[in-house]
Amino acid sequence: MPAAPRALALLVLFCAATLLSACGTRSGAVRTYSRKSKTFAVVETRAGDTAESLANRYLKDPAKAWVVTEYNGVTEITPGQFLVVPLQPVHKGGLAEDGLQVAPVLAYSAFAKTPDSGVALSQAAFDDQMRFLKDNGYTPVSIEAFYNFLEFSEDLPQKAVLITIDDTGQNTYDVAFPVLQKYGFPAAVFVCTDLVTGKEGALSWDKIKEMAAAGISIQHQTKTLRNLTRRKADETFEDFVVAIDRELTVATLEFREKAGLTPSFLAYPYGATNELVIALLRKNKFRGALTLSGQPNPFYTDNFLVSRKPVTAGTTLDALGKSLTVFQKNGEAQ
Amino acid sequence: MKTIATPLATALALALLLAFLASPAPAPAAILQDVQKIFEGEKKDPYAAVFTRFVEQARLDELSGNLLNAMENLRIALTIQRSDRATLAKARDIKAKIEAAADTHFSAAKAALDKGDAAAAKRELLTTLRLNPDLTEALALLKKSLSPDVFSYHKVKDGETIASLAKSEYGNPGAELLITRVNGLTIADKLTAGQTLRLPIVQPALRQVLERDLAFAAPEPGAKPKKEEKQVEVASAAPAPAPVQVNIAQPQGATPAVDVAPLLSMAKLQFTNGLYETVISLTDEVLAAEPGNAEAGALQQDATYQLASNLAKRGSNVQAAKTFMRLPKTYKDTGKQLDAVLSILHKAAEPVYLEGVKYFIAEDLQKAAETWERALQMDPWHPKAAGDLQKARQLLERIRGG
Repeated sequence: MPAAPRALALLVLFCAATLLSACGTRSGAVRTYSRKSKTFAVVETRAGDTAESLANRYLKDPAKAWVVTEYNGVTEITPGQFLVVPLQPVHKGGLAEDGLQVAPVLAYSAFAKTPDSGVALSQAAFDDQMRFLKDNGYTPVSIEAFYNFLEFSEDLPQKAVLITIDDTGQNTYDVAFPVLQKYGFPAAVFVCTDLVTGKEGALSWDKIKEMAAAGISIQHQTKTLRNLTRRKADETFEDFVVAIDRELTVATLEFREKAGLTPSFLAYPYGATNELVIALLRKNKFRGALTLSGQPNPFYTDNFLVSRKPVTAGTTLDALGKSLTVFQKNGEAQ
Repeated sequence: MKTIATPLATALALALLLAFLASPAPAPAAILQDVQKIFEGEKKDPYAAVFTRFVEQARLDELSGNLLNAMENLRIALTIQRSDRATLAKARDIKAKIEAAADTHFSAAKAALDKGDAAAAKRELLTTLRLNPDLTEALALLKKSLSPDVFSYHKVKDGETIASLAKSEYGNPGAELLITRVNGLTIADKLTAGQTLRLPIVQPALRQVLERDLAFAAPEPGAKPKKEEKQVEVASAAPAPAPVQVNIAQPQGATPAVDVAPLLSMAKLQFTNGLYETVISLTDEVLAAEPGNAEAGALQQDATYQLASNLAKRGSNVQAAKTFMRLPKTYKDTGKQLDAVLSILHKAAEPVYLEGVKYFIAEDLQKAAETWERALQMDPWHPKAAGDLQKARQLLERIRGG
């Protein structure tokens, strides 16, 4: 090995050590605990470091703990480890040589405290499904993180999944919310504003605000839950456009007035959309919208055609697992 | 590792170890576990040892042709020793090679698009972006070629009006409103030549959904072909990709098999809550899946009646009239309530209609048309305003057309 770079390296070390001598020592030599460039940080872990604290320190977001653990192939942080933290996305779009990442989105639509005969998912069954995600290494992500992936600005964890709930019923608060909190999972709840009555069986704005404060993302599902693609028999083209526009704008105003929220994502009622609806969404400055067409999403999915997989009481853990495809090999049909 | 104390010896030992690891190129995590061992074993200067390891791995990556991994390892090495000249030079060299490869794939993608080979274009664009994620042009082209366009961009020419565009682009005067809505204009706004408008693209399949207006289905003779595909000049500089068939109007998002039972029970619940619009939306879905569902039909009628009565009470007479018109006149007191609402509307709109007549007699066609438009907004069922407005517009166009 040439002597010059080594001498230089020692010089660099010496300078750094002089500057940061308070940082600590090991085997008598004074050393820094971390070094940083534009693209990476290398870190020697100290007692008390966790993936979350490192993510918070280097990536300014504790929710990015997965960046630290996935990149280094570790599950635990112990003192004295040498870790590399990528400071920029390393696999934008989840692109790999042999294929690309696809991100599944789960759509829950009804909950019940105890099992009933209908499609409503009981609390125990929802808990089982969330535990299934955790035990199988899936990382639920926020809807913002999901759209950052679609927009090619950030990476997602390899086994990312987005949890969404289209239910303005009280059970979203009573049944689903405690389970999501128990697992620390982020989720998006799509609210139809007319249904927020606070009456028996319905959500109230107070409960919505409480969920929002706890990190649940509150999003938009129109004013009256109208199918935005269906024109009524007696409706002129003009009336139809006005009515669809109002389904978006009136509800948006209500979110702002009643809860100080500004949703930017819409779950299409019944999953139905067309070009006209998308044009109106864009006009109203929505960032994206979600259907119910069941496929996982590669990064190049259109923001307004994100596909979700409906999950009901009839969905077994086996079926859930099968719908959670996270990688698409080259040449595989989408 | 304790006996191997010098970086040189470490490097030698690593070279042997790496002979195993070199092919296929290990993922960063695999190297990192290896690096971890060096870090723990090397007491004197572990950073220098680790630096050497990353540089060596980068060399092996380059040899096996994996330039992206080489680059990643060089970047980590340079994070440890940022001023190592040889490594800096190597990183610059590899970065240039990667960017050149990305450019080659990007050119291939554009060539494939020109030939109309969408699958090959997609493949090449994905490779381009994997090699150089900062090539925003490639990202834009990928998204554009895979996503349906919802707008086309139209540069306004001299003499074009919102009404003339509604007719020429959509064959339907009703589309005026669509154009104003998506461009933040009002019907009264005048267009200026050179202004760029967003025009929603209406695909043939969607057109069928919308085409129940007679005017929409049958454009006047002499009207330009309807806008069906993205043929209008596109404002963005990106080359036009081969049209990719994404037919979202054909309900790709629409409900698969609808389970009507939960929809119907929810509709009943919302009826008791007085949310009649939602009841109508929900029963619409039920009736679309099961046209003969009597329970949904009855619930929808009742909700429509309640909604219309509430609208009339609130003084939203146009909406009330429209809603009552969905019901048979014999349903409860629908006929009576509808007549009352219509008579209020007629009374309010009549003076405005007569004002328009005055303008017409004074040969101010523009003012007459605008005033009649206002009268029609107040009372869409005014017996004369609609016919007279059409006459005034035709005269205006004849005059403008020279």
